[in-house]
Amino acid sequence: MANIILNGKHLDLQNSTTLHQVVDQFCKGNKHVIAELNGTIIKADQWRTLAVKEGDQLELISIVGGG
Amino acid sequence: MQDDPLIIAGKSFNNRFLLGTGKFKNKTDLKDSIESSETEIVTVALRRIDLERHEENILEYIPSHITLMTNTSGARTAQEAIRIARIAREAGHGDWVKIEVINDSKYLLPDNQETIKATEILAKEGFVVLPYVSPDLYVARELVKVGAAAVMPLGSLIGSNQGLKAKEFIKILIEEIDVPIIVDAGIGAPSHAAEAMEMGADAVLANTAVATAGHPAILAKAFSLAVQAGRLGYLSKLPATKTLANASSPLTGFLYNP
Repeated sequence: MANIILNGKHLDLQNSTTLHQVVDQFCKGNKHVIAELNGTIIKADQWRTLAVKEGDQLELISIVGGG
Repeated sequence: MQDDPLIIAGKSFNNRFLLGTGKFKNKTDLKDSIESSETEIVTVALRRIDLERHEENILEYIPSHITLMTNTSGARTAQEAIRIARIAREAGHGDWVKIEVINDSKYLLPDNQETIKATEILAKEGFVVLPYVSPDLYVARELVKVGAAAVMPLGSLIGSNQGLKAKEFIKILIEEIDVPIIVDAGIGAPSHAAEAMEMGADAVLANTAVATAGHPAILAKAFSLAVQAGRLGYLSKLPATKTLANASSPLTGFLYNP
């Protein structure tokens, strides 16, 4: 298991879970997810090949309404 | 009518009403308000995705020809604002950013000093930076010096619908600052927007008033028309106000003169 921090909360994931799988699980249907892993934006074309690992800090961000 | 585009950072816009996209009860109201107002610039924000519930993405409702401007709302420091702007650009949402740095939860007044710091760094990184500030001449001059593409002074407190409480100070910015002045925050009625434009503001942004109106799309259109009317009033070179009456009809040749 790999314990990561996703949007500020601890989360246990199977080893070698890819970023794509995390996004798919938590943001289904949202085509405009922004992923920031340990402070770096990861482009969507890298999500399938990048596995999260123990201690990673992942932020899943989206554009929302704002003034 | 002469061609009178609003030009920000070399980009030309025909509509001088900017719409904020927060607080809409539903996305249809937002879409309809964008359409009815014919706005060409909208602000959006960045937030962590709520992992517990599915949310529709707002971008599905914003036509692609509209310029997106990411608001750094939620930032309490220059560094936090800079991070938000960089994330938005990295994610492909363009390089237009409205710097909003707020520390105070009661009045939600912008932190002018942090805003200047963020503006300087982001302008150097090639962002088109529109800082939201309290109207202060020295702050506005500094913002221009460090690369702001426009200055967005508050009309009154965010979301208050109080209108142009800061009118006299905004007027100073209009007279002294060479980049566009876009009045933002507190604009609660079309008359407020017209008033800002009549005195020479280059554009007006509204959000709360539209989003929380009984009929958002109608008010969005009214704002857009008021902004146009106010702009035409300004361009017409309005005559001065007078203390005493001044008859509109000729004062000679009265039918009942003795």
